[in-house]
Amino acid sequence: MNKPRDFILLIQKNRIRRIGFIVLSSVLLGLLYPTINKEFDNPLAFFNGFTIGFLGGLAIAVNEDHRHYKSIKRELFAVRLFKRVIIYTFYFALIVALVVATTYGISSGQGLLKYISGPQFQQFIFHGDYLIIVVYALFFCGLVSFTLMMSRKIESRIMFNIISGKYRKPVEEERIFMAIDLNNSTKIAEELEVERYCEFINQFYMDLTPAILSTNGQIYRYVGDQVLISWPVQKPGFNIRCLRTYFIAKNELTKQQEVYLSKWGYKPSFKAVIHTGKVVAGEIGDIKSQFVFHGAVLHQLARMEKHCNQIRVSLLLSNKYTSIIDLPSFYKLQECQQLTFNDNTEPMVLYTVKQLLEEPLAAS
Amino acid sequence: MKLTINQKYKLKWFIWLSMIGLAGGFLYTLIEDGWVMIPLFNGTLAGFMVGITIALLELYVFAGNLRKIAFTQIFVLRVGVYFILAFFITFSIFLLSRMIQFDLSFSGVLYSDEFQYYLLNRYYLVLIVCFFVIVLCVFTLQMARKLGHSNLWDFITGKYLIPRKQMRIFMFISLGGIDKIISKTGNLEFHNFINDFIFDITNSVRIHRGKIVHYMEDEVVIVWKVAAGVNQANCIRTYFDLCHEIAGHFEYYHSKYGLLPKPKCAIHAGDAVRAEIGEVKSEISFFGDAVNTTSRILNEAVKSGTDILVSQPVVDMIQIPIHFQTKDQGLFTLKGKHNKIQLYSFHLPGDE
Repeated sequence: MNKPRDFILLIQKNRIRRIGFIVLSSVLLGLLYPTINKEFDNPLAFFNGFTIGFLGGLAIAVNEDHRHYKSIKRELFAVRLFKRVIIYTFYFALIVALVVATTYGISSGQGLLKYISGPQFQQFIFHGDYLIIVVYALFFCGLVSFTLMMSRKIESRIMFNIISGKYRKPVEEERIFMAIDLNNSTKIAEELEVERYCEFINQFYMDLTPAILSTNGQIYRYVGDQVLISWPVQKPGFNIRCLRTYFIAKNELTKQQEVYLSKWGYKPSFKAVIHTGKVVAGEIGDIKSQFVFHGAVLHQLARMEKHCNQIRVSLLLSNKYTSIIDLPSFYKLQECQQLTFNDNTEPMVLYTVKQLLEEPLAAS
Repeated sequence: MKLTINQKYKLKWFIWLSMIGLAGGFLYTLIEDGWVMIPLFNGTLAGFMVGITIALLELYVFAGNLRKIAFTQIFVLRVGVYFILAFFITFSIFLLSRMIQFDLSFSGVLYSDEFQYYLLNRYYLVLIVCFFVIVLCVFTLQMARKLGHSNLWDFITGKYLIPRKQMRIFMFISLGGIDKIISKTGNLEFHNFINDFIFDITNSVRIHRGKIVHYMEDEVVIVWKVAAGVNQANCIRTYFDLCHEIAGHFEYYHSKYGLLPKPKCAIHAGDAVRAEIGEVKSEISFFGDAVNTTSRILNEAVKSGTDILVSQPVVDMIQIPIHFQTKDQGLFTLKGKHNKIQLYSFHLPGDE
């Protein structure tokens, strides 16, 4: 199961789902328009609605999907929304005119060019439904862009869970957790001003984001200088993606080092620990609600992270995690010093990983 | 006339929703009928009435006990009820205006050709638009509530994209260690326990103008603008209020979990930097010395078993009500800090 192809398929599944959702809603709205107008005796209207919805939705979906895996420039939410809506609406306006001209041109037997220059088309554009259709498209684009941007802000799965109410009652589930920590953060925090430190940390998080998204990691929380990411436990071939996130992120950050150095005077480096176990997942709070995990895993993760500092390695995997993965041949496990807990539980066997080859599979 | 916080909050709701209704009704009729007086007046009035009615329901019916119902269920319920109301209001306004305009009786208008034509060919559009606007508003409202306070608005306007320095009063509440509670309740019940606790304290926090920043295991972080927290010693009062609230639910906690939440809290004030962090799953959070110090004071409170520890800067700002008993706890050296800080604890008489 650890062939790169399967891995790509898993990632693609999410993309297909996202694209399908946008296209489907767009097609439905395209069909809704002639229904509202009661053009039941005109099958061409429905055909046009479908085509316009499909083409427009597909374009939006592909564009959104393309942007999804990238870290976006920090920009005002409202400005970004406005830009997108304008572009999408413009595109819709173009498609509507084209599709209508083509289908009516063909059905009336006049041909495309003759129809466009004819009075019927002029009538449609300047005095007919065209303006209303464009306003209709504007609403749709606004809604789609707003929902997508908001779901990125809140984390799409959390938003979906809030809406579906899946975690209103707490659920116990098995998850993989990874904590990524900025090294020397205390020193950096002391020497930079607080505002500058915030910017530094933010840049660091933003550079990690594409790596996390590319493996479908769910960002759980930012705590000080730490990002907590989680994945559901799946087949051994898929579970390896948590480990891959580390290497992708490391590559990405190495590339960016000069930028950090010139802007803040520090190179960012990080350590990561991966562990897995049972957690209780659920939603808490009333006027501010928050999605939380509770469980021993998170405490053990914090202990592992301290251990990381003591034995000076930058990546630690727990034996529980290594037991549920299929390790590809270009990664090699090395055993590290065991971690003992204060209470009389068994010591945890820990590993670090050496990458023997360069990453054979680029982040999608 | 001076309004209480609750009244101000309600008034704000009324104004907002009625304005949205008013603007929506006006715009719709303007697009649909153009600049004609009577439909324009009708549309605006209908929109305004719908807005007011929704505000009323929002404040007095869909508040309180309904909070724990699932998002989808309450969403569908709200949209359904509002839509039916909107239907009745618009229908009766259009009918009434025709009764006045043409000086006809109720049934006269209802069976007139003009009105019949209107109902069959134009009115359904009004309803569709109404429906979409209601869906949009209810969804935004519910989402905004989930995100907490002005977070949604701050995200959209991008207020904290650039870190901002703000003077704030911080309050950290802890239940005295997550491990102790979990060992008694287990993971799953711990979640319910903390959730019940948060639901119980939310109202006390809101009434005293505090804002919940986030929850962290067994901790809750609350923040005040300095003026709001200092006024009538709001920040200290919050603590006693929420203790009182929890004591009122003694039976419930005892029978369900076998233990009562014993909140400990730390209050401190200072400059903090507020910034929006992360591009995916953004959080608007506070950074800086004041936050760390508050967290350390909380550790002291938990360690020494004091219920409430307030730092010198806060005590200096606040006019302590006479019936609070202040006790000087002495100078503390906090972990990782060089300067010593004077801490005070508070009691209500008869609280022991």
